[in-house]
Amino acid sequence: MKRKFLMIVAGALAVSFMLGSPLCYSAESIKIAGIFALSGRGAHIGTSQRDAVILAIDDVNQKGGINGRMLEMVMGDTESNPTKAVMALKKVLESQDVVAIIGPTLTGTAMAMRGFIEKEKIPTFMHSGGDVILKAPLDKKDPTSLPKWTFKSPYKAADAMGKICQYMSKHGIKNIGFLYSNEGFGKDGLKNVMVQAPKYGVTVVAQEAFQPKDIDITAQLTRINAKNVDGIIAWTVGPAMGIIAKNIKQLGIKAPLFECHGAGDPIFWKVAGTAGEGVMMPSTKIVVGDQLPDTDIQKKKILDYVKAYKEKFNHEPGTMVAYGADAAFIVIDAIKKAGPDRAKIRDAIENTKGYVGISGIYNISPQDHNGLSMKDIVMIKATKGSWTLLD
Amino acid sequence: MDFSQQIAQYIVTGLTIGAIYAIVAMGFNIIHNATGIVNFAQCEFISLGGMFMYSLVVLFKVNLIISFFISTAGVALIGALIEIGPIRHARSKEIIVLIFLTIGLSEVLRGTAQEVWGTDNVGVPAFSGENPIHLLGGGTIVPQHIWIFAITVLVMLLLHYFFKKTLMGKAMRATAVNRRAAALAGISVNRMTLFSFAFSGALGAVAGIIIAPISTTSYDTGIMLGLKGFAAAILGGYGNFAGAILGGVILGLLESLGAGLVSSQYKDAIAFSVLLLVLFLKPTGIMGYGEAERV
Amino acid sequence: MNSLSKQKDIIGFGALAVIIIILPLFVESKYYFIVLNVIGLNTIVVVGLNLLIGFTGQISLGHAAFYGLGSYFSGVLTVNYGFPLWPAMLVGMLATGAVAYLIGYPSLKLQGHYLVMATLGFGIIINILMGELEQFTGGHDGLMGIPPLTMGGLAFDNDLKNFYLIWSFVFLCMLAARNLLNSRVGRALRAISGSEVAANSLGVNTADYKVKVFVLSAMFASISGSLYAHYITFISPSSYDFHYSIQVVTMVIVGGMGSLWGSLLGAGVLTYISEALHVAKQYHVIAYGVFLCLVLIFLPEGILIGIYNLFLKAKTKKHIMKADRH
Repeated sequence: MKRKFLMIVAGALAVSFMLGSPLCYSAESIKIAGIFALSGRGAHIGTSQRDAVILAIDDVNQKGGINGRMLEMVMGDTESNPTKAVMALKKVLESQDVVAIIGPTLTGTAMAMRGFIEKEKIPTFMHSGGDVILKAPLDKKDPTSLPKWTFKSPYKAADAMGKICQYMSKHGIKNIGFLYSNEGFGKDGLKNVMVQAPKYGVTVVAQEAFQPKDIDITAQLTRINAKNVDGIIAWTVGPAMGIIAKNIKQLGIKAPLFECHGAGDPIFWKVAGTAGEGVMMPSTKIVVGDQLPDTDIQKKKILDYVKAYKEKFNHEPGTMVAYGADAAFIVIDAIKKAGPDRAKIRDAIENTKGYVGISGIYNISPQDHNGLSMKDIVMIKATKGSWTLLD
Repeated sequence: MDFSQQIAQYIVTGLTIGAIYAIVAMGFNIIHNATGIVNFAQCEFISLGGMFMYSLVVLFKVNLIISFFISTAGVALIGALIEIGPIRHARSKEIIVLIFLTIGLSEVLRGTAQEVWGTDNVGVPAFSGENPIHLLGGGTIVPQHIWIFAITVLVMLLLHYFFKKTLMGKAMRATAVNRRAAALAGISVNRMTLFSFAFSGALGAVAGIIIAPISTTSYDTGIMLGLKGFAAAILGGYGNFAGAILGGVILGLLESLGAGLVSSQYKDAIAFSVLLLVLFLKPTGIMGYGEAERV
Repeated sequence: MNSLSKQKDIIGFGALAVIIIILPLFVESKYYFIVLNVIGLNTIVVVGLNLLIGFTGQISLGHAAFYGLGSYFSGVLTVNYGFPLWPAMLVGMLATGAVAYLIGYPSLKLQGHYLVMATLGFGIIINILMGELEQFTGGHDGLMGIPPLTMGGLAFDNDLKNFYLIWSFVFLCMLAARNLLNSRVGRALRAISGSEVAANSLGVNTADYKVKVFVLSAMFASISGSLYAHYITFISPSSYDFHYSIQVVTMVIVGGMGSLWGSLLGAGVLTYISEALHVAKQYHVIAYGVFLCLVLIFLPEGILIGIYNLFLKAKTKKHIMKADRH
């Protein structure tokens, strides 16, 4: 029995060796790599972004591919871990003809991969939230050494924060409490609110942190409430989005709650339940597509995409899906224009102008590798299991 | 809201979290007493309890009380299967090997849960509404908090009765004290170990179920709760039942008072620093006694 | 130590040296190099940890902290303060050793699961500090732009060069561990592992040795952490959470507690398996868990000794069968 077991293990090892080595693909297809957080703490975001990218690629292939060549995705899993992300990157780069990368999901993994991406010179469209990916110079001594090959699809967190503050000042909210998850995304939000709030005459009178996996946030909210705030911003994606909404109801806090630009997602209702009623947040237009005026040039594209997404995956897409989809669409568009050549694709992405995407209208330039602006963000309000477009 | 009301709120919050930690700590203790190991699969029992409850109540619309018992029994069964299968058949009975076997089992359970339920957090409806209740001393709770306290106290009383009064409970305690002597006295040590895993499974499930309406639940929700529960068990004195309650409550209070009065950024660091300090001063936990055995 | 096992060790280290030198001739893929390099980094941590676990019977679930301290000392000193590279690594190693002494001195008085919790808690506190002391560490955004190590005019700035660098350290660390084990101290250590009471009564100061080994194993982890920081050139707190601590202890157990070559094998097999199992797509977490369970159920002495024993058993069985026929 023991020997049999050993043979099984040896066999499994041999098979995994063979399968683990780069596979051969048909010469016809054009390969792009998709690197997502498919396991670990970012898996709930990574899996829906993967679905969004698969949908975009299927769509192109059904229409006959690019000049008759099919698109093929080589998939990598970062396991939400920076080291594993770099390993996944090197693995997908094994097949020399990968022309572009879509992903990764989490800011931490994106930062670990960034240096290697620049070195390998491969165009990469990320869908991680943190602005630091584009802002931080590659070489600390040279502030102009910004990434050349790295792009990201979610709009800048600074703009999302600006949108909330703008809305607040319009509605007479002056003193606010800021609540953030104590990891990269939340801390990034803290820095942004300190810059954006004063611009709109809003003052942050309380700031509190919580751990992403906390089961109760009443202590922090009690502390914020003691400062008599007239608005609260909560910067997090994940279960805390709902816990905070529930805790606010529990404590009877009257100040309106605003959440971040990742909250406009069906997950929000799953975690918040009826306590989610009335929470406001900046969002892409994907969740309120049918409420847009017919004059909105994004409307048709959004409605078509939502329909296709629902047909394939049988549930409503959220704002995270939009980021994954836009990254895929812009890369595919660039391949159409430039052909399967890494450098030309990069240039084509950088010259994307007036591209009507799902998250907004992308105007990418050498100075701005994101291309969205505050105009692309809408404020929405959680209403009866769905969303209402504000103003 | 004046200061005393704030303090009241911190204490209520701390007690709720502490109650959950205490139940989880109990689960760790029962298995430790029967086998001497730390069962890291305890984390997965918590997640599975919550997810079973979600499936039954939300997806299949089963009655809440029935769902509660089915979920608990289901996870208890999984606990039992873990013992009958891998733990019993492990060729080595060395404690450290068994501990890491439970880590391997954890991975299998978590991976399977991810496949079955996906990665999203999901909510479970509260047992009896979400209308806030204002307490006399200040502080506000929701009905679910009362359920958490009531069920925790009930579970503790039942465990106390079981271990002190019933024959099987006494047999399990005898096994904990001395396996060989227990076996000589005609107690089936294997059966006692099996029961301890089933009990722990049930306790983990209960913790996962009663907190789910407040914290939501997911395939990996138990990792952090399990870790804190383990810390609570150690703080109180590993294997000691009154210690588990004390450890859970102290840890819960440390967290909420730390977040409320000192710094919300450092609240976990504060809790763990106090834990280390206690251990350095009293190496067997607050209520532990004698030499703990070696790993 | 008899001359036979000495001979075996010489053959072992000779073979390791030859493999390290010629392996790159057969490996072209950058991906396999990074896998090999990560195996090397893990091996250094595991060898140090195995000294602690295998020879003193003490478990630490806080070694991610020491690994992280090495990374952060190297990273912060070189990036923020313009420290020269190798001295920064040395400072990191010494400082990590000092921290290990401070935490090890009270911790190692704890027994069993209490020690596990203490080291786990310590690891979590250090991990929180990495994220919070933002002005030094770069916080959760991480610390970027860490320069590669250089020697003379040569910069270790690609996978191949780092392969030679990292594996040279693996070789040196293993050699150091082996010499330690064969020394007077090593014999004392093995005595602790056998029975602490007996060792104490023979006049071996066990508490003192335990702390010393703990400090040494922390320094091994620190070296590995520094090499990691200069190789990946970016570090962030999420690489040093308690999952990593659990991972390296698992490697020690799978490789075989107390076995030097088992450490190499444990780090190699588990690092490789967790990568290779990605062929199982979304099932890779389950597959890894199943693999781990099977090894721990059937080969609890670790892969190396476990397989060797099975091999021996099969051989004796054959002999017996032969004898039966005669």
